[in-house]
Amino acid sequence: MIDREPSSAPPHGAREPEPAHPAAAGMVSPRTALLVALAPATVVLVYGTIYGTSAKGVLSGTEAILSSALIFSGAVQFAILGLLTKGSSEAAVLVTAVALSARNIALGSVIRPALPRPRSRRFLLAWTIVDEAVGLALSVASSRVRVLATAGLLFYVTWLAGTMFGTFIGSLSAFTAVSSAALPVLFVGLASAMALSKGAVTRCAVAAAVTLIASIALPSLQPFLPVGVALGVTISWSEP
Amino acid sequence: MNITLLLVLGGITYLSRLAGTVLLPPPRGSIHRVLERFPAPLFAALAAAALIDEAGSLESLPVLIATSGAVVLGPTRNLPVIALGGCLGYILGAALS
Repeated sequence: MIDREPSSAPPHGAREPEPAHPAAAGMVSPRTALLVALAPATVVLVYGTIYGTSAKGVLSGTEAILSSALIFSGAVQFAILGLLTKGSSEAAVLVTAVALSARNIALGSVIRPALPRPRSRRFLLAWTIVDEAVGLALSVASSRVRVLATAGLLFYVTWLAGTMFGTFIGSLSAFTAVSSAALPVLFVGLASAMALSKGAVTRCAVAAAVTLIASIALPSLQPFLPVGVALGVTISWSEP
Repeated sequence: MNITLLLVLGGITYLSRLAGTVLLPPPRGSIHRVLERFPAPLFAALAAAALIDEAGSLESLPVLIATSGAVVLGPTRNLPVIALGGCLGYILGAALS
């Protein structure tokens, strides 16, 4: 669920990329698909734990676990958590969820040529459209559906398990104290993972600086600043 | 957060997944460019906002140094490494404060 810039993948209908995973140049067995997904699943587990812990004080334990079960999107969930922490309205939460989820359209369209024809199967596989699972599936030359399904299911289980674990141990005071730094660190990590060009890094730096200054100068506007500033920077700041 | 809002949020994310794989043609042009560029500055802005409390004051020293540690290791684009930088920064900040 750690987001990557959709532009790193070819547009719909373009020639498929060379396989980035040497062990997966041919047919991928179920065991190999599982092994390929294990390392990123560990990261998903860790961030699920951080999410569960960070949600303490903002969401109840049941709400945190339900949010992971129903939404299954680290980007959306952490953004929502950040907004709720700042006292944002439900409307701001919904707008942010729509804006962040819209990226799934691009990811889905990239992987769509590899998906099976029956629409019923696509409805099921759509649930596995998360950044890491799509990235892994695109990194193999064949058996993309197997990798997507295996990775997506594994990430769902580990994300949910991490959330439950974080919710449980979040009552420990030491972990709770450390988790106060978890959100900004995680957001830096997510921004870094997605800022794949100099222009993107510049937009991140400008958005962070403007938000920081505006949050200090106009604290009452804090709930609206991140989305507003990010949208403004994205729309107005063109690639050099 | 109530259960209705959770269900709506779940519906939004699942619909967005369905849209790309089943329902819609892929986004093109300016909408595609905005969508692909929006998340990175959003998370940078959220990171900055997380450093300021409701009164407009900076967060505690450990939180600030933890974030600085993550920023320093940001160019690696490696999330575990960035998280480690945050942890080390937090420990350093806690020792200094």
